Amino acid sequence: MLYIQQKLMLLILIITVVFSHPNYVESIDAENVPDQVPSPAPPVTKYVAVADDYFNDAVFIGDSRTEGFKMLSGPLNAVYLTSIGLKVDTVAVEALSEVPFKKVFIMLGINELGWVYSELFIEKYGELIDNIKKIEPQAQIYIQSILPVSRERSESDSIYNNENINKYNELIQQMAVNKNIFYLNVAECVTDEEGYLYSDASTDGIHLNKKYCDQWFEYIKTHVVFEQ
Amino acid sequence: MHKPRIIIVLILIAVMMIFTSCRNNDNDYDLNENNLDLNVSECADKLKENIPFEDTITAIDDKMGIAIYQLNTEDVAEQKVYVSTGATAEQIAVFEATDDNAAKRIETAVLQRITEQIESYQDYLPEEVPKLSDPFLMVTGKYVILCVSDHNEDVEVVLDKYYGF
Repeated sequence: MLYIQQKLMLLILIITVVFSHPNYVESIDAENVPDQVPSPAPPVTKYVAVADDYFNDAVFIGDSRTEGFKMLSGPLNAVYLTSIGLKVDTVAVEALSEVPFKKVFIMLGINELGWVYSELFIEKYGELIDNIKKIEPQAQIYIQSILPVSRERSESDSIYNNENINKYNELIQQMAVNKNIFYLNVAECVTDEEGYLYSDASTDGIHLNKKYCDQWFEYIKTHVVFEQ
Repeated sequence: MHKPRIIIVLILIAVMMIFTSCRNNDNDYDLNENNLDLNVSECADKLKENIPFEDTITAIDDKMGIAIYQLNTEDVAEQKVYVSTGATAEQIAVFEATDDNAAKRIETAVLQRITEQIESYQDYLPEEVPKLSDPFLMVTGKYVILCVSDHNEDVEVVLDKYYGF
């Protein structure tokens, strides 16, 4: 018995030694780890700048800020559905039935910052989008982020401040994803390093002067069409 | 003996009246509406430079000027319009109409826009309503001059100084 056991142990030992040889076992160390397939680099969106005539079949919908944009810098041949104090639930969207359009640019929200329920704002914004789609199902819809306000305004106003604006912009961005429409972060072109509207952009911290309306338009022109 | 004195006095009075009826100012325009020749752009610029507006006001494209006042293009020979950023209701609009009747139509359109702005600003920025409710609006011959600000008296001073209105 003992002789058989010894043979078995010897056999086991031999097998162990043989299969422990480097030729049979790949050592697990970093140098022998097969090269991982590199992850593809995140795609870089390359935009193509458009000219003013790109907006000949565009509609701009917005409040007093867009009204200012219209007068100071906006494309002259676009259609504007703008008014002072305009809100998501006061847009006369039926007026769009009277005009041909292929693109819609919307910026709303600053007049609703004081609403008790932000969910209501998004709900109404969503309804507006749905109504536009009913009128022109093929229209490209661009939702613009709400522009920031100045430091002075933000720090002194319990409603019109960047904390509220940023919160609304997150909701707007998510809605754009849910509705499968474009989200244009125009706010970034007029925001300083600390997240405020540039100090020389406005006399009241809210409404932009021509220089910054020009920048706003320039951002739109360089962020609406991208290379396929 | 008094008669010659009286005659001299009458002559002096007549001479004084003649001199005071003629102004010695190169900038004066003929107040006869039919002969008025106003440089519209210059007039708007003078108002912009001399009125202390609260907001930044900027000249806009003629096409936009026609659009915001909803004018008939055929009625407007020349124009210059300044608008604010939206922070206030301040504005300047100086028009040369094609004729006196066109000027009246422009005046009507301008007043309509002012009325609409009062309605909009009522809830949005009620502090702007007073200046909209009392705009400086002058129609003289084929010229229409609008200025919305808190400084109507200054507007009168400017127009008097440069144009003799």
